[in-house]
Amino acid sequence: MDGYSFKRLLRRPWLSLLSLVIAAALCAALCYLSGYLERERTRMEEIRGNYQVLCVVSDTRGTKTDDLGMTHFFTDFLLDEEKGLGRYIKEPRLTKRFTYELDRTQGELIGVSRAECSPLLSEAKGGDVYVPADFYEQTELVCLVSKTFFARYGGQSLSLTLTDPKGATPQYLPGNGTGTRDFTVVGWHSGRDNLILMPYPASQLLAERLSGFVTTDSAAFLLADNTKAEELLQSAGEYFAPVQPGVYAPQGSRFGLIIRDEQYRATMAAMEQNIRRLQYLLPLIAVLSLAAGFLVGFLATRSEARVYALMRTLGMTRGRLLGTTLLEQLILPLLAALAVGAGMGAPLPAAVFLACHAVGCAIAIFRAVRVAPAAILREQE
Amino acid sequence: MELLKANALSFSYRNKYQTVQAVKGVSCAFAPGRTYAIVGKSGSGKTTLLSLLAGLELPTEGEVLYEGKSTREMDCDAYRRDHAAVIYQNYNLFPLLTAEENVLYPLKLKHMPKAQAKQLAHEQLKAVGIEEEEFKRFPAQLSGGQQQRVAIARALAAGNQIILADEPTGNLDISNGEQVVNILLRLAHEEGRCVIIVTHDLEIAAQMDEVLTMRDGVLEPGE
Repeated sequence: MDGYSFKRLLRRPWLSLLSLVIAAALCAALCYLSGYLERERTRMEEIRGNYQVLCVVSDTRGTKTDDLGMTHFFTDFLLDEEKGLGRYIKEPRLTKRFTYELDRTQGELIGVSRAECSPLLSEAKGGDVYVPADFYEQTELVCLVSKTFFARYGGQSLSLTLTDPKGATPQYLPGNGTGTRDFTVVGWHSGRDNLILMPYPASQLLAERLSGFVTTDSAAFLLADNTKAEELLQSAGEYFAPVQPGVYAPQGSRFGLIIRDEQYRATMAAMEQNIRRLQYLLPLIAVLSLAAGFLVGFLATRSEARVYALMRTLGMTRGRLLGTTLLEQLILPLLAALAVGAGMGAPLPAAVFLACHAVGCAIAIFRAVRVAPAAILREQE
Repeated sequence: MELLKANALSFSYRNKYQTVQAVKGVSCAFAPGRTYAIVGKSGSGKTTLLSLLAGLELPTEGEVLYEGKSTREMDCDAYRRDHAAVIYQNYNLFPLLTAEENVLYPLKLKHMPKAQAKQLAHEQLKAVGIEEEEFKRFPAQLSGGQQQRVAIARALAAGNQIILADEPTGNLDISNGEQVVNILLRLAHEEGRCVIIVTHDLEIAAQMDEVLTMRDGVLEPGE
């Protein structure tokens, strides 16, 4: 680029300023949208990885989820990582319900597999809770009571007369589903006084001893991989069919599976749509950059035919003329792209902008410098 | 010895309505150290002949030979840069460059070192009678005669052997016109360059060593 080019730039301050402003605006738009698209993609991946999609086992009509009486065949299938659904699920929330009588007071004893099984165990929700570290894995008869009960029985033994509601039938099984057991009180929950919680493994052993067979009254879990909900439903089909309202037992299954992923799907669909729009918008801005390059190049060269012809008569090659003129027109967009790209930390979109702008500018300039050197003489004649 | 030769040159171009045969089978030769005038009416094809000799166009038939080599076979840009310089009726200086920068421009194209180019430009400007205080003036600040002399200095600075001038005095008054013609004559007779002028002015043509008359694209022998 020579002094003549600089003089031409300075001679047309408005066009130079326009070129600079258009370049900065389009480059900034491209950098911003590229960054936004990248952030949206990252956010979508994060949501896909971290969103907790809850799946709940119910009856086949989807109306009952907490008194299922599910035998261990179903529970085993649910948790089995090789032959069952274990590889699709995480954080299984299983409960087993008994009734008890203590000092002529009746209440419920519920086996829970983890804190998420009951809001009464949630410290995060502001509950005043104390649960020993390994409570949920225990197979011993330990329990959590209300804080009032704990004040009375903490560290002591509670003798509960128990009934397994699912244990009395069928009658041909050993045991009648009732019995008295001593429980050690080890902590407290934030619920009512007549509710007692025990570890789920211990509750299964207890049921077997009282009734001769084990059942689970509710089961829920999170999807291990949110993209594999369909795969889970297909694998679960033998034991857990998709819920069909109004149909009691589709495909012979006794239980249904509700995947509560409506919000997840809606969120993902909205984000995918947003990303799709951005993906259309980015090429549009690239085309606009090209058009802007053409416009600026056209405006800058439209009245320069005589000068270009003169340069050619003096022996400047067409290639050198093209190069010099292109550099002259791209110096300001280059500065704008460098500043915007560095400022917004987006060198690649800035480079893409510059490339598109350069192509548009080159088309306009190529048309202008095609002038034949003899044109200057013809004009004179 | 022939420096430049036109060999059965023809040139036609198409305008909006028809194909125009501007030059028809012109043959002539030009030697160094001599001046030539090409005269003829408007539209007789003299400027087209000049553009063919300058390598601005390639002939549709025939050839222009510089030192025996056809312009078809050489790089015409390099030919104009190194061997043939053109001077125009309306000066054609770069309006945004000073007189000095205008003369420096073709030297820059030749990649001449800056200091050497500047010294040469100053010498050429002084040789055509441009005062030192006028070196930094823009064309718009110079008179027509001064502008034409700057244009001649630009043509000379590059050291080209052939000077082609298209109506170089057309826009000048008598005094300035005479100055320019004298410079061109000096270039041929003292510096051994080949000067070819296209002109309407028969008085100027008479001062040249040889006059070529064009009529309807055909060259006729001058008086």
